[in-house]
Amino acid sequence: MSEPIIKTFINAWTRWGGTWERWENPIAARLALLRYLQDQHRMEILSWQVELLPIPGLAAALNDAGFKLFPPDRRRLNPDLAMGLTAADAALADNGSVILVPAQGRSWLPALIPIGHVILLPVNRIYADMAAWRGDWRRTRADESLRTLIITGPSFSDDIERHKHFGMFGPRRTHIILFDV
Amino acid sequence: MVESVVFLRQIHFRQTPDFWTKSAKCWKIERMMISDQRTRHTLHRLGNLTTAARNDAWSRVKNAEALKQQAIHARDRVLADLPAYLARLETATRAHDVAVLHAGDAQEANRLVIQTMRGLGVTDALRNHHPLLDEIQLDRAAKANAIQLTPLHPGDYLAQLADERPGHPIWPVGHLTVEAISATLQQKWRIPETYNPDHLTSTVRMPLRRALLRTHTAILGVTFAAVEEGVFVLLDNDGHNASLTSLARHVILLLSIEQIAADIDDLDALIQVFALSAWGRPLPAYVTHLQRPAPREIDGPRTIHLILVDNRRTKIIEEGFGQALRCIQCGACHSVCPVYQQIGGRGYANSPYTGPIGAVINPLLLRPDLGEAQAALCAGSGGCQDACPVAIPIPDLIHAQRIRLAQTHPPNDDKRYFSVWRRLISRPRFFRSYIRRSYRK
Repeated sequence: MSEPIIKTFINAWTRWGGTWERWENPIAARLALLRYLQDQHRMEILSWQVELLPIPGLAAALNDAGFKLFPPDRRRLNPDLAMGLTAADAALADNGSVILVPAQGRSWLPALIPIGHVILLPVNRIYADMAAWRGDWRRTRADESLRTLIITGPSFSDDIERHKHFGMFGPRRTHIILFDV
Repeated sequence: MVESVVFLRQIHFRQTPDFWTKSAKCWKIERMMISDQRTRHTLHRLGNLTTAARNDAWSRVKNAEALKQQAIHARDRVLADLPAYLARLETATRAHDVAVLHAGDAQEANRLVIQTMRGLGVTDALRNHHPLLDEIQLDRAAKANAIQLTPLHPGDYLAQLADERPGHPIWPVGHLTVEAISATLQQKWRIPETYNPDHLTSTVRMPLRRALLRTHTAILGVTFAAVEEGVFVLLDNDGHNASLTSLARHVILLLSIEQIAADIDDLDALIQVFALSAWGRPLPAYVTHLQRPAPREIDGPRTIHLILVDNRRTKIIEEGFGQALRCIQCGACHSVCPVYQQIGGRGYANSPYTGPIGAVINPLLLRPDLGEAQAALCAGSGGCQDACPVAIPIPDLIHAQRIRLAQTHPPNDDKRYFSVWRRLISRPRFFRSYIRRSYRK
């Protein structure tokens, strides 16, 4: 992935209120994730199935650090869970968006219910724009469901005299951990 | 204030020869809000902020003109052959295990929603914010059938609490001041006095979030659908649509038959144009694509019902007002309309569609009796046409509406008004004193 596209993505993502950090490999990203979660003082995390996250050895690392991962279960959904952890299927540089495609073990709920959302994103999943992503999708995953969620920054409501209130239904904070692969 | 009314009327006079006939009927409507200075200030601020954000966002788009042209082409393409595209949409969605129903009018749409809910054995549901749901008056029908329907959109919820109808397609309570909202919440929920928008939004958020986590059935107005792929899209910034499609076990989708795109590429263009013009950003915080039920996944609906609502839309195309159906309901025309900024949504006789496009659509779609009053709600500034991302010639359509009304409803009163007018101008002294008195009021 070319550097200008990554920079464009970071600029656009920041513009809509998202935060980010970038690391040179998945191991460094794993340490960064642990540090970020510790800084937030959140030990319980609503997460995708950990094996589906794009960082090796994450389950053991989180466990050793005392974090407890909860798989999404809509019948026992704890509204007070403060942190959600997912990866992203793709990211769009021009708009600063991330794309989540649901599948077994990869629910949307960690991206929608908790107050904070951490997204693990390998840089090779950043596309220049929607057309580039759609083109790739047609080539590789044409037979899959098009049920997708495109997230561009944190959730907000500006219904009262256009005053922005962050964290209306979705997360108040969206943090991306980018890493090279 | 009075000067501004007179100014509006003067512009109007230059625009329409039948000014005296129409003005008497719309006068009362305009007076409803024109005296409330704080509300006018709120509407002005809403308009200015929205226009600034929209202009800034569009200025950052490379090939903005090409994008607009693509959106116009996308709208015209489906409107030119609507029945064929609808048939293809039906085939595509049925192939994805979506139950498709057709509603010819509002009553039928409501009946189908109620029937579907009874079939599912549910008596309460959450709904999103969409002008179509307001158009068919779903809330009223649900209440009459002992079904509890809660709007999840905070603005829509506040509008319901304040016994108001949404006044704007994007910001339903854009016309309400923070004081008015605070007063409503103090009265209804006995909250402590506060004028902090953050506190007020948090107060509304709590019960809505609780309701969301318990949700079983969702009724959703669809922003757009892509025919070829059978995909439905919902747009918002707070995440209520994404959460509803994720948590609800049964989803009932309502789609105005004209809000479709031929394929996903046209859909992407429409989403972008909508977001740029409505919110001044290239995409809203949440774009939710829904295609088929997901019975085996943790989240996602087990069943999806789609109700295609016509409600006179095919008739509008037949009557030659098809260009009005290009509207993507982004609200761009509201923020530049000098009349809307004076009278707000209430001035459109509590109709679901407000602003310049509402003045065209309401009489065609809902109540022909509104025709005369609403066609008069145009000062002829032409700002709406410039702001419209899909280039709807709104002033021309309002003019055509006036001509149509003049033909179908011969202005019998005109003779009487003009005889008064003739007597008035034939006595210069009396006429001058009359004008002076008008200004003094």
